[in-house]
Amino acid sequence: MAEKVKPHMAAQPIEGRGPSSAEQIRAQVLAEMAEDLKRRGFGAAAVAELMLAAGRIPDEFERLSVNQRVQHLILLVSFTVLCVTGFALMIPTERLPTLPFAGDALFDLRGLLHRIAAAWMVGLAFYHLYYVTFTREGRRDLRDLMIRPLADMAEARDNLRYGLGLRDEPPRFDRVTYKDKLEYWALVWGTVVMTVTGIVLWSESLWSLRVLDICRAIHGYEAILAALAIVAWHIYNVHLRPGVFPMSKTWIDGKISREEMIEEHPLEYERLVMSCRRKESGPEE
Amino acid sequence: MDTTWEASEGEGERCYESSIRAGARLVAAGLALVLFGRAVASAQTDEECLACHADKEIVKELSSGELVSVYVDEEPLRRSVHGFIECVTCHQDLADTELPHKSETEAVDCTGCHGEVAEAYERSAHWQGVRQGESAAPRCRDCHGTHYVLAKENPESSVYRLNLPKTCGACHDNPDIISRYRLRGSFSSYAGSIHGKAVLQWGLTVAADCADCHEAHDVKRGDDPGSPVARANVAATCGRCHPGSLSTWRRGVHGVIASEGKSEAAVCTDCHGEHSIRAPVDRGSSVYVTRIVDTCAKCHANREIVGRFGLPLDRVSTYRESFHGVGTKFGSTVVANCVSCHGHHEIKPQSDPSSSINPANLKQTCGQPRCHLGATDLFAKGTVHVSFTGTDDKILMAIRAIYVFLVGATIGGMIVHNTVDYMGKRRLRRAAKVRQWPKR
Repeated sequence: MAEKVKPHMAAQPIEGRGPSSAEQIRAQVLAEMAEDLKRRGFGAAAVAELMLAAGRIPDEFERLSVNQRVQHLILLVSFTVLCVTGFALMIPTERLPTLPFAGDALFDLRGLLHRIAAAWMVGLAFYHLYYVTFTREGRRDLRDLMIRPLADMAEARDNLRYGLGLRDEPPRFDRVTYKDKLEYWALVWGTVVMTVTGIVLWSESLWSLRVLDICRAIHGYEAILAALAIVAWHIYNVHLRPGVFPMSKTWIDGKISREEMIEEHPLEYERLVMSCRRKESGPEE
Repeated sequence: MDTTWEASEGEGERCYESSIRAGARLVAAGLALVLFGRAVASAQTDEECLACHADKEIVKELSSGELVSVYVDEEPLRRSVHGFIECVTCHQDLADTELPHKSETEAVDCTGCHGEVAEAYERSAHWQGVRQGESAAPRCRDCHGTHYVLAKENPESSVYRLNLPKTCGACHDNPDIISRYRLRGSFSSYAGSIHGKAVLQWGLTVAADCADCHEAHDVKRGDDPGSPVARANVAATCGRCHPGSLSTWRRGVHGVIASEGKSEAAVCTDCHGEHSIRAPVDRGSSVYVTRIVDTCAKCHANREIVGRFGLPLDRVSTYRESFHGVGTKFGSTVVANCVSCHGHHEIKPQSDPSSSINPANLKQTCGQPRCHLGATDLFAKGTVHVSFTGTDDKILMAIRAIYVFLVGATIGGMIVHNTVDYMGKRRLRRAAKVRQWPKR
């Protein structure tokens, strides 16, 4: 539907067509500025904003801000390190002597890396609390991520019904879908559980063996749940899902293409486009 | 002078040497020499013997037709412990014969002078072998040599402390002999041990050589109850050099039940090994920090042994499940292993007020400076050997059940959901005739 729309290509030199009206000139100037910004490597958000202000639909939209991408990167690295160094405890005995630095070095390194990564992750969690409380962007994220049980379940139901062929149209997802909410709140839950039990295990001398045993059991089981959830949910959504396979690059450049936007977040797309001024030279949608 | 050594092969010739009272022997031999040697053996003097036997070419023919040298080098002979006695004192049958004497000569009998040693030797497994016609069984000369016997204190002696293992090893490193007599140890296993290294590499005379544990002449098989290395005696034998360890072991539960005659009780060799014994700090030692658990497990994870003493069977498995156990599995030398909490030689049951695992002492045991320094009373409360898998603990069981359900439901649900979502994506993209979004 959006194939023929190439707003930046459609941007004509002003003298070539001749100004028909002030509005048109303004749109053209904005479109050219957007082109310029894009050429000079500005972010998708600025480009898209100018494009939309010019009444044109941009090629790319911003999905993740720099702030969000940094948060994601810290989470990605710390979560991976935590998984590797944590599940290392489950390596079968026979394999261990063949690993490099087997012995004290390996075990101590494992523990040290686990604690460093844990500290980063907990630090990130506290920053995130600040982010969703005191930044405009964070407050907006939290608002969008709030669970609306009925609406979210209806969205999930419609999506599944469409997949099963019981419905003709897929649900019209907004910026934040029920999938994002599930993943976000699962992460919040997991971080709270792992942080509390992890801090208890870290300060083992202060607790009774009973409490430590319980925390150790929970820490282990929750880790399995979290890691498997990441594999089953996140890996599908950002690696295996048709359209992004083998990997969505959004976590690196923060961008989402117009095509993906239309397919995955039609409601957000529509809202963005509707909010822009419609001009005769603007998009048909 | 000597043609009998080779001829007497297999005849059970008896020649004994006392390593215990060499000085007294010398006096006795000297007396014998003065009283009998010169007076009685008038027929042959050493000069007469050496008139022929000092010839390096002199040989005799065995019944097999083989030619063997019967040359005697006088210089080392005079330096030997027997240097001052005459040839015929040992070769008594040649005392009055015509020269040149017949080539069949009688075996030299050492018992005449070395009677006490002979008695000890006659109790040995070696003598038993000789009597049973085992050609490999050693007699005096096999360990001590023939003409050039040196005192065991002489560093050149084949039975000098630092040389003895190699002398024994001449037979006890031979695979044929080891398998024929079902021997448990060998020179090679000893050579790699802390004792073997000390003796053979570092030249320490304080470290155990073969005779220290097995006796020099009264060598018995380990399964012989009279052997100093038999199960019932081995602790006392090790204790001759390690008296401190012996007394702490005797105070511990293993020593106590051993004194009650229970053969299951762990003795020195059960944990430390026998010939291949290594220093506890040696990575190859069976009591090295990362290997001690396996060593304790030999008995404490053995259903039969543990059952006989009414001990819980899950002590090893629960340890392995614990964080300490996992650390040990990784080769950590810092995490607690069995002995960190239970002690080693002086292991005492929990009921004993002086036991390191008595509830009253746990705070101190856990709070060792290198472990959980600052451990509180609270920390020491609770069950230590907790099973997470086969648990009967209600809370742990509940946690396990909840998470098994959570993982199953969540992950199962996610997989089902994503399968359907995938179908939806395919459907949507087919409808839009899109295969791939344009590359950015």
